[in-house]
Amino acid sequence: MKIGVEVNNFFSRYGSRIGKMEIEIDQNTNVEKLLENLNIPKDKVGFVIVNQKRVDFDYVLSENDSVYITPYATGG
Amino acid sequence: MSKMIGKDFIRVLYIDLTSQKADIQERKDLYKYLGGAGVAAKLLEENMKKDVDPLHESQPLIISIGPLSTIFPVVTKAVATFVSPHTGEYGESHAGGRLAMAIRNAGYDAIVITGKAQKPTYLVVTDKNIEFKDARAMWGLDIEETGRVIREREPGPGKRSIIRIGKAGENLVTYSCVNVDTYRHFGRLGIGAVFGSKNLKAIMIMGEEDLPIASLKEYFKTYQEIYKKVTQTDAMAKYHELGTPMNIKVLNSINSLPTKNLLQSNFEYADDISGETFAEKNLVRKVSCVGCPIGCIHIGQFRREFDKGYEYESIAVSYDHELIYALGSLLGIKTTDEVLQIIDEVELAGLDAISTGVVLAWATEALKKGLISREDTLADLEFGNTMEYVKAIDNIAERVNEFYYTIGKGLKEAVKKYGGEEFALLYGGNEMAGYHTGYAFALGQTVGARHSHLDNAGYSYDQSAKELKDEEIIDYVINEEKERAVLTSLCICLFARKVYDRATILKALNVIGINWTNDDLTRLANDVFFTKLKIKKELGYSLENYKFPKRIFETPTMWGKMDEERLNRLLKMYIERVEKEYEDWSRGK
Repeated sequence: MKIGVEVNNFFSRYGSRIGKMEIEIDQNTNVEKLLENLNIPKDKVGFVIVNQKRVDFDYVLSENDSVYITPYATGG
Repeated sequence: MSKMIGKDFIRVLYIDLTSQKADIQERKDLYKYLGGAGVAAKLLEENMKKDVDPLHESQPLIISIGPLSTIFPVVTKAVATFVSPHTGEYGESHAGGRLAMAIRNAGYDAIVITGKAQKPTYLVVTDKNIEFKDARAMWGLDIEETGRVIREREPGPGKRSIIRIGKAGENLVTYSCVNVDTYRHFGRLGIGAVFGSKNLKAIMIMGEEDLPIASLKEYFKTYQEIYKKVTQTDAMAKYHELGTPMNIKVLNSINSLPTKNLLQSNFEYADDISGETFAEKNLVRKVSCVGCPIGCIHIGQFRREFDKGYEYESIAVSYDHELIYALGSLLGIKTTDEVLQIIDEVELAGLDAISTGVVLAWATEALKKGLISREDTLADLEFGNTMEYVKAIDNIAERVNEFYYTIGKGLKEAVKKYGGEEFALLYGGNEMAGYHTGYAFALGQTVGARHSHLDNAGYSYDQSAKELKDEEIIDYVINEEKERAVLTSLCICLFARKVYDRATILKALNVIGINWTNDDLTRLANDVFFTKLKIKKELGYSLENYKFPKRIFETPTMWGKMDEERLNRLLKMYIERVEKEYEDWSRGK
C-alpha cells in the first residue's frame, strides 16, 4: 500500500532518506519498521506525526497515511 | 599586577559617567562566583538602588565575562545585568559576537557603569585607556549608521567590539536592545533604555593584552578534546545546518507554533517561512562569534525597492527561530522576504524582536476588537500586512503619540490603560517566546529569573516527556535553571550545553589553574540561583496572585489545551518549593 512521507532535513547526516516522498509499504507496517526502512535512527526522532496527529513507534500505518518525521525543536 | 588567566580575583572596571572617572578593583571576594551571570548578579546586588526608578542615573549597568571566555571553544557570551525598566525587577541578558574577546583582551573580567553623561557620549575602553567621547552627532542615528561612524573613527578592526543603541534605546522604550557587533544582541528586558538613560550611545572596547596561560601543553590538549566534541559529534551540528529556524516546521507540526497572537498554534503558511525555505531562498552566509567553530548565525538577504525606476538595494540581516516566530507567524507574515524586512526594521530601531512582535500582535487584535483605534495606531495593523507593521515599528521607536508611548513600556503597561490582558501574551511580565508546547514552558518562562524560555528550557521537557507529571515538571524547571547558572556563569553558549557537561567544565577549569570540584559547581549553581531571587525580592518581585493570560488556555498546545487550574497549581507548587529552599539557603549564609 502507498503512504506519503516527509522526513525532516535534520536526518540527512545519518544517511536517512529525506524530503517528501510516496512509498510502498507492506500491510501492518508500524512506524518503527518504517523508520528502519528509511534508515532513520530511532533515538534521534522527536515526533512522528500521522495525519496531523502524534503517534508512537508501534502505530500501524494505513493506506494513504501522511507521515511527518521530525526531531525535537531546540532552544534558540 | 598580574593578569594571568586562572588568577584568583575578578578584575572589575568601574566607570562613572557623571564624573567621567574610572577605577579598577581586583576583587578576591567575587572569585567564588567565577564570572558571567554569577559575578554580574553579585555586582548588581551590590550596586543597585532598591527604591529608585530603573532608569535613574544612579542605577548600575554591568557586563561580565568568565575565566574560560574566548580561550575554550564556544565560550563566547558576555552577560549583562541591570534593573530592568521592562519588568521593574532583575534584568539579565546575554550576547555573543566579539564582545567577550574584546573585554578579555582589554584585561577586565567585569565592567560596572553608573551615572549619566552630561551629553550623548560613547565610551572607548581599551587596555591602555578609558575615553569619554562626544556622541551628540550620533544621537538619533540607527544601529547600522552608529556602527559605521564608530568603525570609521576608531582603530582596531577585527579586535574591537562595538555595542550600541538605536532610537528605541535613546527614547527609553523598555524593550529596546543593545546591538553587539551587528548580528548579536543584548536583546531582552530593556538594557537599551538603560544605555539611553545614561546618555550612553555606544561602547567600543578592545585590547591587545597578552594573557599567558600557565600550563600551555595541558591547556592545548583539553582545548582540542573539546574542539573535537564540538565539531566531530552531532552535539551541535543542527545549529549550523538550518539553525534554530528548523523549529518552525517542527513546532508547527505539533501545534506549538504561536500564530496570529496565539489565536492559532499552527500556521497555514508555516512551510513558506520555515528554516528550509529561508535556507533555499535567502541564506547567504553563516557566521560565528569569536571562539566558536559552529557558525550558527544565519544571515538572510532580501531585495528592497527604495525608489521607483528599478532602484533596489540588497539587505542582509540575521534570522533565528525566535525572530521568525515573533515577527513572522505571530503576525501572520507569509513570506521569508517579508519576515526579513520586518526584522531589518526592528534591528535598525534597536528593539527586542520578541517583545516587539508580541506587542504588535496584541495591538492588531486590540484594534480589531475596538480597544484602540486607527487614530492610536496610525497604521492599519492587520495580520499579514507587512508594510503596516514596518510603520508601527518606527512609531514604537519614536514614541510618536500617547498610544505608542504607552506600548513602548511593554504589554504589562499597555493592558493597564487599554485592557485586553486576556490576549496579552505575557509570562512573568515579559512577552512570550516562540514555544506553545505546554505546562513546563508556560511555568518555566513565568518563574525563570529573567523570564526567558532559556532560563530553564521548559519547552524541552514538554517535548520529550512521555506524560506530564507535576512533580517532575517542578524538579525539571528548578534543576535545569540551576545547572544553566553554572554554564552562564562561565559564559558558555547554551547551544554547547551538551558539550560542556560537568566533567568537561571541571577539566577546563583545572587546566587553567582553577581547582574546583563538582561540589564547588553545585554550590555555585545554588548561590547564583538564589542570589538572583534575593535581588528580585529586594526589587519587590512576587508571583503571589499571579494571573496567566486566558489566551494560552484557549489555543491547543502539543498536549491539547492547558488547564488553567493545573497551571496555577504548578505555580503554587513551584513557589512553595523554591521559598523553602530559599530559606534554607539564606540560613546557610
